[in-house]
Amino acid sequence: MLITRTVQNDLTILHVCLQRLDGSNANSVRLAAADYVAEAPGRVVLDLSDVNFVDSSGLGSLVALHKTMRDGRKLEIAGAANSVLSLFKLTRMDRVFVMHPSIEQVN
Amino acid sequence: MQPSTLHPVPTDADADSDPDSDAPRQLVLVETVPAEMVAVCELSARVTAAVRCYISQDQADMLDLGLTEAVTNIVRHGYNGQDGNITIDVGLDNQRLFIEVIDQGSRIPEEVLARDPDAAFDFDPDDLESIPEGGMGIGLIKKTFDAMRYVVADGVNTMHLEVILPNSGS
Repeated sequence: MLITRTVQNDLTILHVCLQRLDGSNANSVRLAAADYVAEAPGRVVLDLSDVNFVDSSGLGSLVALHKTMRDGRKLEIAGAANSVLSLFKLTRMDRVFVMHPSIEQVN
Repeated sequence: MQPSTLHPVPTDADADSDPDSDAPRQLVLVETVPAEMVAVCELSARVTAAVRCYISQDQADMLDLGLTEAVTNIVRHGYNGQDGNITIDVGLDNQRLFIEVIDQGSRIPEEVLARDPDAAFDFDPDDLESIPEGGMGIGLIKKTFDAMRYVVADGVNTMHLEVILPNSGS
């Protein structure tokens, strides 16, 4: 299982069940999450708390999902490890997504 | 042989003036895997684990990222679905970790190597169309290693990558 979904009112949380999000699985993760993102009526948070590595392929899959969000909504990211945060900052993608330190701090 | 120097690297003149330049290089790891996405991504993680004791956690994170970008780029664009192998050769002296990524696929085009590493990341976050989904790999390699050279000789491509060791005085 690559993604699990939890729905709380208008909040959809997609938990990524991988330690590494890279070229070997990025497209599969994007496909697994795409329908959930499309169906979500409100906010969508990707919980990356189990992920300790993301490369540009993984980041590209997150950008692709972000681009499918409608009505000006932004994809939200929670629980990114320091190594993952470094990638977001290096690529300036921290300006694209709404970033939360942890899923518990999503309000 | 036409080396493509992307980041400043020690020249022969620098080496002559460096009393440590003749320090013997210790072999850390040599491994060859088929140019398949799962194999090369796992190889990057293994290399990072093998050198973790020599570098900081932040350096290890950057090395894993840059090396994954390098081998992924070879699988996607170098071999482009064709069979082939990728070899990673890791060594170190008392100042630097040296990583060579070797393949026999299509070379990285000069114009791609010459790009500003920040060019891919100069986008408007509010303009969806401008946000890149790909094309970030070479920029990330340049940003994550202390030095990088790309050499093509006799159909063999070698990317030379360096990490300055903590407390090396470099």
